[in-house]
Amino acid sequence: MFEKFIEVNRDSANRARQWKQKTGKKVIGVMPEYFPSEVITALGAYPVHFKGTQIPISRADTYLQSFSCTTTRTILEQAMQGDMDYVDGFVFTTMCDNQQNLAEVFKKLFPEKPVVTFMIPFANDASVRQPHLKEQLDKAIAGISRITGTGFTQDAFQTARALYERRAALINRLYDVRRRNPKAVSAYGFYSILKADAVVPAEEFTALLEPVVSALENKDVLPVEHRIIISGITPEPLELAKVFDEIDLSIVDDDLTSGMRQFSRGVLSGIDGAGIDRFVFGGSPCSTLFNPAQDRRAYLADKAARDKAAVVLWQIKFCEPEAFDRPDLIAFLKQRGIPVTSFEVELQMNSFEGIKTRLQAFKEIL
Amino acid sequence: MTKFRVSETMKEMMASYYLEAKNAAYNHVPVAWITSGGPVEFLHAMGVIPVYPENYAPMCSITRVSKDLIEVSEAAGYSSDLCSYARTDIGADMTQGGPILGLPKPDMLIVGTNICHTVVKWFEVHARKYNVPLFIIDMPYLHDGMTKEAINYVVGQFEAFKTFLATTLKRPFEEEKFREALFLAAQVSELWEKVLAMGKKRPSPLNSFDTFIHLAPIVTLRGTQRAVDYYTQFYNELEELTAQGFGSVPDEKIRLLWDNLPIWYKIKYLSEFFAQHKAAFVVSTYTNSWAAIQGNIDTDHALEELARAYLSPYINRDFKYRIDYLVRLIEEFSLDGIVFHSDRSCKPYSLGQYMIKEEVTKRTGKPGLIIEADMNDPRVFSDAQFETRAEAFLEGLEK
Ligand code: SF4
Ligand code: SF4
Repeated sequence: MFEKFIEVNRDSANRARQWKQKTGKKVIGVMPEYFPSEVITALGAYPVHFKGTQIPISRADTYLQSFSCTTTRTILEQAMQGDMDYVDGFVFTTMCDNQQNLAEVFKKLFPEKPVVTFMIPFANDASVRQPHLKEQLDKAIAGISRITGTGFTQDAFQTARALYERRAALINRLYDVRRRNPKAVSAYGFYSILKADAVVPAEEFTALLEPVVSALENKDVLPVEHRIIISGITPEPLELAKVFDEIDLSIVDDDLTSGMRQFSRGVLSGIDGAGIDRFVFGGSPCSTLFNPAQDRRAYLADKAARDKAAVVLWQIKFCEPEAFDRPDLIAFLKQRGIPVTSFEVELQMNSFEGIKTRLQAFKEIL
Repeated sequence: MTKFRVSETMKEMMASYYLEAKNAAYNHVPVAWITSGGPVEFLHAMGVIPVYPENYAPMCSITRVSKDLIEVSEAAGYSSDLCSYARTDIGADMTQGGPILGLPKPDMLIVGTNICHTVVKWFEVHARKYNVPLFIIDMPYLHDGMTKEAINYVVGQFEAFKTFLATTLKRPFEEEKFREALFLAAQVSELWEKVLAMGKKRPSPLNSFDTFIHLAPIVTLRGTQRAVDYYTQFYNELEELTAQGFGSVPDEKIRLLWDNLPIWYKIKYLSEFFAQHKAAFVVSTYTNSWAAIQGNIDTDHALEELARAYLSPYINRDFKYRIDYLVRLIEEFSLDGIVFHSDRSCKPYSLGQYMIKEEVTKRTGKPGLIIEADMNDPRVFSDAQFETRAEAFLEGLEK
């Protein structure tokens, strides 16, 4: 059922090259979250998101020290290996120091590919933040327009919005199925779908996913023993999801930047300050955003209590936003009686025995 | 390191500053913990004592307690991959450790993002613990150079900061005192620039290991008369020394630039090592950053100027700017090479150094040396590795 998505992930650069050829569109590489794809689509381009992936790192070491997180290192590796040759320009959202400097590395290393930056604001006050976000968005729109040669129109934007609304509704249905019937979909299958979403054009993705979700919705509900919520940035290396399936820890929901955090907010309502502010800050709390109106600890504790689930923090080594949150988050969850554990990964790793043992031990105490 | 007459003055000044800060609660004076690039002038206007975890952390390192404090925070779950200033500070806060037995409790937390995003996450930890307001002044990284949009965004936050202070302290913002603090801070930065420019002399009367230490007052007391007096005195002493032909490194042969933060726990060792090789660090991007925070306040647009100044530090600039700047410093300070401290803790400073080094060498023919280390975590430094690489580098320069 998930084979099509798994295939895309296995060969994503070639798939993207084919889609580029088929659509005749320019490709905008998005690094990686919090920029509205609907804007890119409205500007006549095809967005491809890069979130880091499981590949051995060799060339990237020439330019990034080993203390850069492996999300940034594997993204650079992909680029240096030629896996982004089809990309015409990049949008970098700079939500952490690693991303920020990676944008500069790209500017220097690939001068022929324009880099547009979209800075995530950290100001306390929404009234100060919003005009800045609006300026950032306008600047990004102008930058992408220069690449695509297409200007922004409301008509094209509304069409793109409708497309992304359909896609979001479908993914939310997928999440709902999993919450209701976690055994209906394996962790590996579920996150293979989300990973493919980063590459497959929205229209095709919706067409591929619709029958899958419908079929999943019709599956018999099976009992679940161990309910888990995973929390972090992105579920990479994806192979690790198989470990959850193998040892029968059922992921019922997530709190991931590349997962529920983005689908818990709506699509971009409009390109005004309030619209883009809602788009960035309107979802569930994220370690990479400064939003004093939200408390990630309480959010996660409530969610876990509601879902009767334990929490696993899926952390990427050298990811400061997540690592700073971790001790307080764990203490808070424990205080609320919610079982919690964490592990750290590097994206290029391919042996998961240590983590498997850890998760098995965790399962025993559940 | 050079023993200046003012060194004693600085010790006394820093001691009295920390004493005042420690007694703040007793004297009913509010305390703010603030980041090194935070706009402190606003706090001086309101009589708030600014305290700098980024000053206390190196103090812990120089006094050789950072390792223990780091291990305390790591045992509490803070990853060994996090910035070691944060780890030292969190450890010091948990144990009330370090040379002044912990920092005085904060009434508010003030963060400027013109150095990194790390500080936001780090101060969030304190905000949760102390349950005090955390105010962020977001000074975005200048990917596209200095822009009107970035300046306006920061000005908007300065205005919000005034309101925040007035509301939190329950009294009106003191504009008159603010202007005075701006005036003094601008003077201090100007004096600091003049002090650093002394590195252009041959031989140089001071080197970067000296300026790392004499940076403390500009970080902690910028915007005060004390700092103006101190740097005036320091500058005068340097002029005297120059007139006598004094060089901080005897028989100076090699002139270098230090990039990135100091390696605090090794400062004496490194100073001696390079002096033995007759190599003087006559300029550093790190200490220069405080000279960059120089607002022109004699205008109707003081806040715009201040925003521009606070957006300016080297670490907040794009790579093209960094490369051009290093090339310019090589010329202005007659440098023979650059030592890049690749600081495991400080991602925004370090990531990209390999590429910057490559391009600067291509443009100037001046070589660079990368030292992999950490500014506050001594477990990361290897003397043997450092010496092998540094000796080879210096030998190459001598030829
Ligand atoms: S958010 Fe974390 S994982 Fe993502 S790029 Fe930044 S440091 Fe790396
Ligand atoms: S050392 Fe670097 S990462 Fe740490 S607080 Fe300073 S600027 Fe930020």
